[in-house]
Amino acid sequence: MGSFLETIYDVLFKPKAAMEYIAEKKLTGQALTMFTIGMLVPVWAVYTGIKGTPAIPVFGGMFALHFFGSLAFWILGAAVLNFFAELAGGRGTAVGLFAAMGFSHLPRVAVIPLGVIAALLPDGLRGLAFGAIGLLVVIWTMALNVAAIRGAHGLSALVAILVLFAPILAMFGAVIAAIVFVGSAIPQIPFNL
Amino acid sequence: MFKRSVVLVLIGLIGISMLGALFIGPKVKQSKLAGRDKIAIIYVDGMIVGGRGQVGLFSEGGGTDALIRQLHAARDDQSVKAIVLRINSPGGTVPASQEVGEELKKVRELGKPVITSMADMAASGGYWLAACTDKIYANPSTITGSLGVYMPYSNWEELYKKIGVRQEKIKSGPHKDILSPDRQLTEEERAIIQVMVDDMYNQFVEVIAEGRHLDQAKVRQLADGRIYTGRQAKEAGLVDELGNMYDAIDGATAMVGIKGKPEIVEYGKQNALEALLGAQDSHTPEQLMLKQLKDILSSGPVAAPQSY
Repeated sequence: MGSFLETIYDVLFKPKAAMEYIAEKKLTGQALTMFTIGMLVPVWAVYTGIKGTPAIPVFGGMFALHFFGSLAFWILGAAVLNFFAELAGGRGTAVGLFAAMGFSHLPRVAVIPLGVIAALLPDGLRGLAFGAIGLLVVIWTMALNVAAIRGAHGLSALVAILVLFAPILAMFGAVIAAIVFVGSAIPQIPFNL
Repeated sequence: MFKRSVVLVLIGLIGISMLGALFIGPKVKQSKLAGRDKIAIIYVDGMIVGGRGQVGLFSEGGGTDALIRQLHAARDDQSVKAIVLRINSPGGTVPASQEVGEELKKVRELGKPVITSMADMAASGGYWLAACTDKIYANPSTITGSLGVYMPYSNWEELYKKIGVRQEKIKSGPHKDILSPDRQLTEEERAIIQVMVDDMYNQFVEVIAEGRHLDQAKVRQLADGRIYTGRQAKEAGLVDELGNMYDAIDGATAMVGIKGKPEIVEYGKQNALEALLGAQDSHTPEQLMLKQLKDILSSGPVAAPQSY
């Protein structure tokens, strides 16, 4: 491992070992490059689709929003997951996890070649193929996130999966608590029927 | 070296794909972005009153501002091919009905048809809106008509005397407190109001005659203030078809030539949070009367005639 291209190869074919290396070396520069490529390539796909349509003037704004929104999500996501990973006994650093998670944007690059193949399919299959590509990218990204948590914090696969879903579970718990709270308060509101 | 070669090959494939997307992407993506052809449904519920209506934490409702915004959203959505205006209203103020009616005409001028579906009631101001649309559907028993204008006025002079209230006013002109509830209208004031009501009525008649392609004399004959059932209204030429909202949607679909089933998009629909914390969706006559009463009792003499 060493160069950016070699890191990409390892993330593709030896994700756990690659993520360990990225986290240990804190390859934040390479991670930021990967993130930028992961943003630009799907945006190209969208651009080719809306070229010449009335949607083009808002394209730049939407891209900027998407880019900075994803960047904020990456930073905050790394911070939150690092917190949960440490609670689960992990021994890594937040910067290491941040760098490793940057490479989990790699599957987004696959959207273009797979999308072009799907576009060549007959009408009936095309929608199904686009759906399958979306699902594949989501699952692959989640798998790389799990690998990033494992690699950065030395956790088992099961614990890493729990850490990945912990923020969602925590939010779900908070919503349930809020519903219970609101539900108990509603009978006290004097409704006029 | 091997690793770099593999990744470089993959990068080459992605580059070729990006070039390929330039040629095959537009066709596919444009159809995806456009989505299915849509029919928009916009609801007009309760009294038609101007302004923002009731403003809640997350939404506002009942006023024409929100209704016009929904119309503009449907107008600007390229995938919306026609609008179904679902009216369930006993009427409203003349200016509010007029401003929505004018917006409906503008939407139609841009080539987007508007079809009315009358629910329980589409009377007076509700009919004003309907008359500004391309086609009117009503249930056979829908209450419609009430074509006319009136100015409500209450004289509480005797009540004030009984409870010992005497309003004192310093007026800038003799008619500044016209329609004030603490005194009788003078004959001159009654004539002034009558001229106003007649002018509004004439505007209403013109809208109906233009929208329904009827002779003004015929409209005046129908517009004596009486109410009609949907079936009577169809016989009189005030309604085009008898049918419910789904018939109106089918009619709109056929009118714009959509093949297959259109996607239905409802505007102004509240989500659960908005329903819990938002504004009430419509006004009732009782609420408006109560508001007027509160305004009169809590404020000074302001002449603000309402007509519906």
